Amino acid sequence: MNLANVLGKSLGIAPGTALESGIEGMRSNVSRTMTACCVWATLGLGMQAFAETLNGLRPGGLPLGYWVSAQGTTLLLAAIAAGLILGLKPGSAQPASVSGKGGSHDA
Amino acid sequence: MTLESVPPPSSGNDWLRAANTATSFTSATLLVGITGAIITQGHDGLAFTLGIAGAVFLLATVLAPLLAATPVLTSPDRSLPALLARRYVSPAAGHMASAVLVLALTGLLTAEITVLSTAASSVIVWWLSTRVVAVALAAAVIAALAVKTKSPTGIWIAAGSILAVLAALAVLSGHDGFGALISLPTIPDISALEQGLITKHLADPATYKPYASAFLRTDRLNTLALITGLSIGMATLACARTIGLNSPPQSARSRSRGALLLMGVIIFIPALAACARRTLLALFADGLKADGLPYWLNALQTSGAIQICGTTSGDHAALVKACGKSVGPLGLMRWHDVTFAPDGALFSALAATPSGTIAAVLLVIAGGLAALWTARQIVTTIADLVSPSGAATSTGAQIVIVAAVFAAAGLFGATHPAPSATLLAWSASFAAAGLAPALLAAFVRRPSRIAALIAIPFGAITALTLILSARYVPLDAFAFSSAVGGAPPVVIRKMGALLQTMVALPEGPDREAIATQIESLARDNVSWFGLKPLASGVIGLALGALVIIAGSAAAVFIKAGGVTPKPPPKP
Repeated sequence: MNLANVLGKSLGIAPGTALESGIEGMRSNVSRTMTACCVWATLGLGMQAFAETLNGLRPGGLPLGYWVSAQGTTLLLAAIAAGLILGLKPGSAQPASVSGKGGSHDA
Repeated sequence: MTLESVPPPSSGNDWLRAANTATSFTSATLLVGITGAIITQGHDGLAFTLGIAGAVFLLATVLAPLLAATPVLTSPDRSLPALLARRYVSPAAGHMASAVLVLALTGLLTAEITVLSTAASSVIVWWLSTRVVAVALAAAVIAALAVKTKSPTGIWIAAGSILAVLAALAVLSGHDGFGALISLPTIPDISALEQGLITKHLADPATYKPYASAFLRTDRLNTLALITGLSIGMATLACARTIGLNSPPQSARSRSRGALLLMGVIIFIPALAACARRTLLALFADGLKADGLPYWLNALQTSGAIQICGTTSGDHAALVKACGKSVGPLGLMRWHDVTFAPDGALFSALAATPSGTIAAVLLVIAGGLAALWTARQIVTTIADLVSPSGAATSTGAQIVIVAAVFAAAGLFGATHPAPSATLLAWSASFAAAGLAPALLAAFVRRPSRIAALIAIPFGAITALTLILSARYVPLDAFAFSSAVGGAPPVVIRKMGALLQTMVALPEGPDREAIATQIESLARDNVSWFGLKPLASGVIGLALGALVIIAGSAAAVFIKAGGVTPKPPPKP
């Protein structure tokens, strides 16, 4: 079963209503967003636990564990966020019922 | 009352609006306060960076699309309190959200003024920092001019702030080389300098903590809670600020661009901290004498940003006398003879080079603009609270409000309640606990109005209680220790006696042992479930969310009143 549909159902989103029509536009992105959040939690928090082990690797004299914690994780998060933004479906950024024209005004 | 569809706002300069979003995360405070935390705490300070990066991520991927999907953004009364008031069909929900927002933003303004006063002391004149209230009031006049109309001035203020930060980073990278932006040459240099200091007996190997030491090794629970609370709180606060009354209409993509812009800055914060730490270590490695200190260190010492040989007195004779007892074998100062407060650490390093001084001036400009923008947001929120009908608040009233807000934040900041990074964490914690549950529940089909009306104050008061109950007692000028607020009288007396004994002792193992004992007593008595006040947001957040979830479920189950009506079907 599609995760987006399950979540949409559990949120009680009724298609075609004023507020919910905006949320409805997001439903197709829910799986992607949730996956991204899981990746964030794993990279942002999980990788830190291995910092000491990774410090054993020192490319160019730079302890890898330090770099992953300090900058690598943030860099990856930025890449994930940028990918998600580029992949946003127009309807999720601005629902048709709001714009009144069926499209996004933010592109 | 229902949420209605209205025509979309006119588009403007997307990058200008993106800069507006970026400044929502407090640019100068972020750069100075959090960089300072990393310089002084080493690797552990990175928890702040990761927390803010998480906030940016959540804003870009979750909250921005959700908020863009709500018609309230395109209505004339765009604001977070207005969104909650309309969704929960209750003006009281909006009023409570406004109150939480004003308090959180005032905490943020205090952090910004704290940073501004420290920055001013390093690049202008030292005595300015002691006139922090005067600075605040002078800035208030400018802010009053900025807020007198709903003109786009605020966007330019915000854009100017983040541009000044970017310019500071560019100047520094030009000096240190772009390789420094990814820490590549810096960390090996730091390791070599650390080794040199230990070899020359200028650092104590027993107490010196290597800069690139392990992260999340100690106190994991608090580190994770800080990251979580900071992430959710800052994302909520940034949303509230970017849909404020005087902010321009923003789409999901515009907000996301702003978030990414700021993430670009965050990536370089650890590198900036490493460069600063290297500069400070090099100062000691080159030989630092009490009677030949660089002028900027004296200025920062007098302003209270650093402590030299246990004193903040600017008197030369007193300093030489104090250092005479503690300097190393060659009459040189050792690393632990100077204690850098987080807010003063970055400027101590920047002042050492001409390009650093230029960067410091740019950061002063960024800090000033960010403070003005925060004040503007506070005023518009208060104006919305006082006059929900949308009637314009008079310019005179706005000036009075701005002056009062700046004076309150300035006076509070002058008491040095905590380092700016801590103030930032407190503000985020408070916003997360008070606003996040109600904000996220607004997107559920039928949240309970009554549950929301309980959850907002419940979450906020829980976080505030935890912050205030851990009254900060400075063991010395810099080692802040959560202490006696919630402790029984016998513990308070014991702590007081220990504190007096410790202050009378010279630096050394005995003093350290007593400090550890006080810390232990404090932790036993003020932390809830082992969490420090810095991470108070997660407790308030969890309780607030629990109230809304349980209340909404119960209301639906027993078909009680208070459940918000279903939105009307689409015609």
